Amino acid sequence: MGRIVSGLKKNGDSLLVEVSLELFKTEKGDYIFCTVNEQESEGVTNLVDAVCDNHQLDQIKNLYGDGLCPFGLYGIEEIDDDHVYIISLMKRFKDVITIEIDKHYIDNQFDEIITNIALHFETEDEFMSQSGYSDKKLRQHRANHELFLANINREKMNYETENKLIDIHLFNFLLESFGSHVAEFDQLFSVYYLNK
Amino acid sequence: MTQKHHSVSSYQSIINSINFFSVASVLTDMSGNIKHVNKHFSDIFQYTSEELINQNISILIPIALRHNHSKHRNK
Repeated sequence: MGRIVSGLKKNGDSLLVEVSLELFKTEKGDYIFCTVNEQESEGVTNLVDAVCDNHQLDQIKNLYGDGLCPFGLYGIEEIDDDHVYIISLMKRFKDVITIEIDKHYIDNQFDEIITNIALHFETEDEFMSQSGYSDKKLRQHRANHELFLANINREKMNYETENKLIDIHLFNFLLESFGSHVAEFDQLFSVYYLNK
Repeated sequence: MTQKHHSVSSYQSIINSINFFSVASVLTDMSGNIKHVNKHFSDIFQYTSEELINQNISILIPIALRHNHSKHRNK
């Protein structure tokens, strides 16, 4: 498997790609051969799995030290640390819903993730505000935080109404919502913050 | 990321192979200057091959990450 990195299209849109490199020696000198696979939106689960394998979680920052950017890590320690922690909670929760049938326990674990995400959003909003991020972009970012939490709470309420156990579908909805927010809005902020 | 060392290959045979690959592929020199891309690579990044040849690969890296990418490539 290659490394997940951020890319930039000609029109300025960002994308996530998996790259693999090989070094070739030729009669004209040494060359680097690189294959690139674009990551589709439904691949968010795989991206998160790729960076938060239980055995690899402790190594994420070492990977980032390579200079390439795993999902959710943009070189801003205050924000990256939260992303690593939240992703680790999600990884654990995925295992929980696979083996656990106690609704109360599952609900508590799910609520812990949402609480941590909400706290992270507050920290992130404050950090962005103090960094001088423009009011317009800050408002857009905050609005996306609020939309995220509203959507998750609405889906969770549907499960409550039907007295259903939280399952992989709600987990994937949470994961993909978080992944989309991070990949779009947090990356946008990182470009501003690291270049200001 | 996998990095493999090969015995000496024919430069032209690598170029020919890239053109037939079904995955997006790019060949750069050791400084990151793009020497060849296939159609799939152009399609993903929305540049023509003419626009990419002799440009540095860093133009495809988000601005905030270019410095780190350069440091990584030079290791």
